Amino acid sequence: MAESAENPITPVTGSDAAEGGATTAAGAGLPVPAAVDGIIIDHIPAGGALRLLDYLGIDPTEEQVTLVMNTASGRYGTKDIVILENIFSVRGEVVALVAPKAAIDVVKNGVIVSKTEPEPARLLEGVGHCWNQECVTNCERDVAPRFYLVDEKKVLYRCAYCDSEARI
Amino acid sequence: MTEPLAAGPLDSSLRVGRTISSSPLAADPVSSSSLVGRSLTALDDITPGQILTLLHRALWIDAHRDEVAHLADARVMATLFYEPSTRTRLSFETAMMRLGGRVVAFEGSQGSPSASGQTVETIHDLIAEVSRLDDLIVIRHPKEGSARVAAFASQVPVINAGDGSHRHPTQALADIAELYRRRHTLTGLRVGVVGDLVRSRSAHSFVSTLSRMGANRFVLIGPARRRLPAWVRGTIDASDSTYCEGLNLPRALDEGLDVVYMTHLDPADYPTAAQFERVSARYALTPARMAIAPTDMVVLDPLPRLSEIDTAVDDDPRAAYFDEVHAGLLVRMALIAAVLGLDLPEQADTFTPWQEED
Repeated sequence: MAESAENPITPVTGSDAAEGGATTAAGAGLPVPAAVDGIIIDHIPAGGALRLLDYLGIDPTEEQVTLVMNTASGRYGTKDIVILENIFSVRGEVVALVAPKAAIDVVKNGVIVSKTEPEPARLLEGVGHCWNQECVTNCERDVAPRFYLVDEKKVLYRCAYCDSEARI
Repeated sequence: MTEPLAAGPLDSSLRVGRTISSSPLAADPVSSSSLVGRSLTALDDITPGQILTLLHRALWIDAHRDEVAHLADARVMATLFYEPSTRTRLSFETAMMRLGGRVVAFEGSQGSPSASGQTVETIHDLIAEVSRLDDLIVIRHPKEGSARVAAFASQVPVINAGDGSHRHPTQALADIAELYRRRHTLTGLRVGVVGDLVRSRSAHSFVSTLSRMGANRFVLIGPARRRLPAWVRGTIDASDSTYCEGLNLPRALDEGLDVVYMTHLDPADYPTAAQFERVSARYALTPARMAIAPTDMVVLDPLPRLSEIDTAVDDDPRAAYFDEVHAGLLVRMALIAAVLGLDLPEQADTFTPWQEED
């Protein structure tokens, strides 16, 4: 089983995984099921995992999802981790919106085959909603939310309609 | 300074006609032609050079009124005002008529009723329909960002006549046109902006535009809870201009302002009339305060006035707010002509009457 040096999750293959058994998140001591085939999104700010699933349009009642929430992180203090089984691509710019310092690992047959960092898009469409109640997007039907990037380092977006700061 | 990103990502969606070039600070006669067929929801959508060209064209129109009286013959402009307006609507309609065009008008609340009278039609649908009837749409709507929705839906140019507390680009054009007429420059100015800076859409458009026109220094004066929104301050940060906060009005006037832009506070924000009067007096322009201000200062106000300017100031030659109404008419004529592709002579793009006088 390949293992990311920065990733505290150590999924196991073989009999444990085949039987649906759990493994232990190294460093965190948390039981998580093995990610045999799918995606691990690590280094999500604590509390952001559910919002990320929502923004990615992943329905936990339809997909096999494992969440690790508010676990210890040597790098950031605390973090969330999302494990998606049988999903092999996600919108990196959406991940960047919630977790700009995330790592997106694609795992196939228990091996991490790619590891990417999400990059924020200049224009983000169809994700989230504007918090400004006076924004037209909150009263006009069928207006897709749009946010434009104003600060790449801080991953700061503003609503493309009313210019309010996006509160992710 | 970094390039502001605000307008960039949406530009392609707003464009009905051709693309625009980047922004030189001089008048930009070549790229000004690219305003043809374009919507104007924010002045951030066009370059400082194009704005300067519009100001020059407005001055040219003022000096050549007979020559433009039939420019827009057979063109029809629809004004869709979802909330009441006096000056802006009259200004737009007069501008179109003085160009020879015609006007059809809708004035309603949150939308037009459907045939059953039970539902409210969306901005998108109404604009999609009206843009198949008329050559130009002017919209005012109480929701912020509504003009952008209209621009996306329209097949003809849409001009934002005010969207909630967000922007009022043609009022800013009027403000800046009058300032330019009086000072002959739009850079190196010390500009006081006074009052309710969070809610004044005119102040938002004025500051975000003037900050791009040159290296200006803004002095923001108002109650702490009525600060200029972060997105407007961001446009200053992204420009060659700067701003400061915390000065009171008398001190700012005493230290010297080239321009003071007055907005009124809203009585609804204060629990009692007495408290409103007490607070608003701090941010009011009076003859006594005018006495300590520079003798060549320009006083702007998007109007309507409540109590932010004492009526005794009206006769002061520095009071420019009523002249702004005239400037607003001219610059709206220039804008309508530009987006409809109505031909003006090339010299209009760089025309300044003070050069003629010189």
